[in-house]
Amino acid sequence: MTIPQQQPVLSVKNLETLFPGRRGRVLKAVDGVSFDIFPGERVAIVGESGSGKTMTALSVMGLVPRPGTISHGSVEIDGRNVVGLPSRAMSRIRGREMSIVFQDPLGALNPLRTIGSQIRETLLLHHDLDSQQADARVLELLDQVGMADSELRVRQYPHQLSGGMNQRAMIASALAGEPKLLLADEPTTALDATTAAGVLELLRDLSEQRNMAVLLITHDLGVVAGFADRVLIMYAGNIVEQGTLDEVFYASQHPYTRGLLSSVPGYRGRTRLQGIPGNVPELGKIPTGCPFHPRCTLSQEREACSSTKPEFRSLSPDSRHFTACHFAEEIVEEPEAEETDQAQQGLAESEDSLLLRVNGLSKVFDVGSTISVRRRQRIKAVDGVSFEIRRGETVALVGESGSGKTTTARMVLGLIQPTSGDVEFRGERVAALDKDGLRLLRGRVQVVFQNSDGALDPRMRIADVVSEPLLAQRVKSKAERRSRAADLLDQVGLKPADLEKYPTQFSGGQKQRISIARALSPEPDLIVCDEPVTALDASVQAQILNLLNDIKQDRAISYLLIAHDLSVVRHMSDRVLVMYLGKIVEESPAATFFEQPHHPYSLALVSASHTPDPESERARDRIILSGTLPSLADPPPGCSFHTRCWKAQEICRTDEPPLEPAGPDRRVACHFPEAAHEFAGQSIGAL
Amino acid sequence: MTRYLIGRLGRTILVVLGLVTVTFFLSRSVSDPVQLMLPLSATPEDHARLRTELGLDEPLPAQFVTYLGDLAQGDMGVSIWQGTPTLPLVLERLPASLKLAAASVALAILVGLPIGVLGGMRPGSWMDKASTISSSLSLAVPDFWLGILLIYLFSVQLPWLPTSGYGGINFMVLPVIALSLRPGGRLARVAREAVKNEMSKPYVVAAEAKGLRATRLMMRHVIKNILVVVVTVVGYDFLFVFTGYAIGVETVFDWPGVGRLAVQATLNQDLTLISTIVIVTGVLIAVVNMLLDLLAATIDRRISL
Repeated sequence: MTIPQQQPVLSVKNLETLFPGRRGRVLKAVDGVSFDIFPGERVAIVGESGSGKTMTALSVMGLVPRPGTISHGSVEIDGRNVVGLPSRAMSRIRGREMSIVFQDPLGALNPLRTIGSQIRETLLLHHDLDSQQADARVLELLDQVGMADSELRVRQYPHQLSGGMNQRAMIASALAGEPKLLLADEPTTALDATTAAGVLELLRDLSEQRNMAVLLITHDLGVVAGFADRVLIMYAGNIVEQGTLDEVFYASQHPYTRGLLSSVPGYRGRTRLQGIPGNVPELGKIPTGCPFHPRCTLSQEREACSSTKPEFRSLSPDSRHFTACHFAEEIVEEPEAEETDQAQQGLAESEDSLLLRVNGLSKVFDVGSTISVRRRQRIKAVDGVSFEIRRGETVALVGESGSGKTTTARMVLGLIQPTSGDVEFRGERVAALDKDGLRLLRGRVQVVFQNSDGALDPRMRIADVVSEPLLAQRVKSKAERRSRAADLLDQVGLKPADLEKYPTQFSGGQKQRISIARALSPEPDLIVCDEPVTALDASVQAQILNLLNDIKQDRAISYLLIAHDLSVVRHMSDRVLVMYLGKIVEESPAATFFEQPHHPYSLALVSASHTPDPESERARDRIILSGTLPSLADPPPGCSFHTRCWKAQEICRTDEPPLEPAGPDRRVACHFPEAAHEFAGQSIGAL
Repeated sequence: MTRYLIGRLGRTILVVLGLVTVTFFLSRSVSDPVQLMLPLSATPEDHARLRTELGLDEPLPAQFVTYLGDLAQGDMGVSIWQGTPTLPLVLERLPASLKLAAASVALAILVGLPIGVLGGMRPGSWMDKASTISSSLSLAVPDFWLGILLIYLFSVQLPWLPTSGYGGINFMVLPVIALSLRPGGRLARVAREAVKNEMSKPYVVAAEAKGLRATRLMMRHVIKNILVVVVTVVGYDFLFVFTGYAIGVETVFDWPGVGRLAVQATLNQDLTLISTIVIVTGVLIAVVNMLLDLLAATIDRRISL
């Protein structure tokens, strides 16, 4: 990329944003950040929780929440410093010179006003338009952001639209003032994969058409790889590295960046994730010197790292690749860490031993009651699902929200009763079990949830949390329960001293380790992992994924994994089940699924997921699904996917395709699976 | 929306029917009207005669059917105390009470809402502290006591307003102030919490990011979003002003409203009249609540989904 020689649209210099902490302490949310963005440029700020990336964006917009303040530095828009401008002047810059799009589109729109009136409001703030012109312009904007049926949408309220449509409406509103700079704070994080892909593409197109600079704030390296020209890596309020996309991804000069990249499944086909030891520091507990030094493998307790904050510098005079590391030269010389190729998760030795069989499982929820004013609806959350899990195997359930993954998992766990169909565990029908049999079963099938905060009783000591399942399994001796709990903590990488602590004393990753220890305590055969790493930072996510894989190898345990992140699924699983509107539409071995998805929906999912590899992201065509997920209360006739399928024929609208074998170990529910296959061959690159 | 309206109407009718049923069976089970109506010197034969005359010797369900039939024709019985039909007695008092309640709730909104909104806009500021303290105080002061205090100050010490009675607007000032205090305080509190809560929502930041200024943001986005809560609280307060608080205040100010009638009916053990008051106020409350729910549903359409 050539370096633009023009005036930057945004120039941030030594920005410092402070929050008053407890006992008179000061928390530095943003700690001396400097960067420029040039017209039409797409820049990404990447960081984990608490890195200060969002606060940087809010500082630029002059929207730092009370009682925080910008204590130092400048934010120049087109060469004019806006820090400290009176609020009246600032409100003339917001929306006109720069706009922002937030993570949660439903929350960012006023629930009581129509989409149209909210976009119109922005228009009228910044342009002198009469009523008719404004109405016409609103429709124009909605068309530009790819909103179908714009005439209808303007009169609708946010709750009547899907997440993707609301985000498009937000973007339309952000564009209304014709800004030169658009800040996008995790704009796709709250959206389903196929929707997110469309929104990102829209942002890219808009930035090109309008020569509008975009500052993307994200935690997702995959999203960055397919979007940005330049990347800033933030850690603990500091920018630790800055460079072009390729410089940062392929020739990183900071140990944190390297650690982050090696934490993400799918980066250069690694089979084992590296991760970063330790946890992201909390605000107010940021280490002195280089903030990263306690977690850094390069630092090796050298004095400089803990005493002096490294200067932000480039290694060669004409380079615009900057890094904040005392020993960056050593990284550059050091080759990429060798691929520690471990044996791929083997299931050969236990291939035939069936653990769980699910047969024609369905669940219908009746929503609304006779007393309520609401309409009664029957929602088929899960509709005739059948699959098997073998011993030592990881089976992933994949699909967008509302596809029935979690309901299926809950029926497997015996937490809710199926409306029809049955679950067989080790040859025994779960429905036929008596109370004692069910209790024993619960010991064999355990669960790890996404939200470890909610899943651990805050008033119980860790010792009790971990050993409680043993109590349910009638392990009477207290001493034995305790010693088993200590063993388990050791296995998940915690210390025996932690037994006496309470859940709130641990970080998110540690809490997830505790959840895993608890799940392991009755020595289960199957653990249902419902989005086990979704709530975790990338560097911590890698530790947990590694832990789960190690446990599987040591104990020949099986996992039923629910995850929306396909790179996690690919990293972890042996077999993949794709669900759409309560039905399985494809079942395939993981090894071939990602190269050749057969069902059009699978193909769309695979093509919508991102890998942290700029080259493959560039090489790739995406399939952007049109339309939105139909309602479960009123599923389309025939193939439930036909409303969004580009291959749909007459037969798809009338006849539901059965789930039929298609090649080795593969089942697909599609009238035209080969067609999808060919399509895949031509247009999507390797994931 | 139509569906919601019909459903809500149906529920209101159910509530009224329930109220009528409970009132009927309760009043029949707690006392014997014949004992109340006849002098102590009456003979058992007198009792039996009156019982037959009033239809009280029939089985309860049959009595209930007769009662419902009478009710449908607007006949709610004869007051034991006054000897005239009860319904006109109550309806005659209704306008005075409604006037008092409506004026008090209006004053509560006029004063309490801005105080709460201003407090919630900047939590922790001096505005907020003043708002919180004043609303706490107003909730702590008993209204009948305040009524007496007001009479002492403004009618006795400073002869500005009449001590009590019913007439022009100057008769209303003191009772309205006394009555509006508690609803006003509660409204201020609720509005403060609602605004504070609303201000922390992402759409407020997003609206500010569009370039909206603070006043406009408040007026066009935040206020509308707290209206549903405000409407609910106002409905609740109307109910309380009308039924509960007004009894004390109407007595203190000798206001010829339903509240005072209720006190008189109770003192005279006039069960028919009490039942009528209960049913009339109950119907009124049910209808007001329904109207407020419908209002809330037009503000926030998600309610009618």
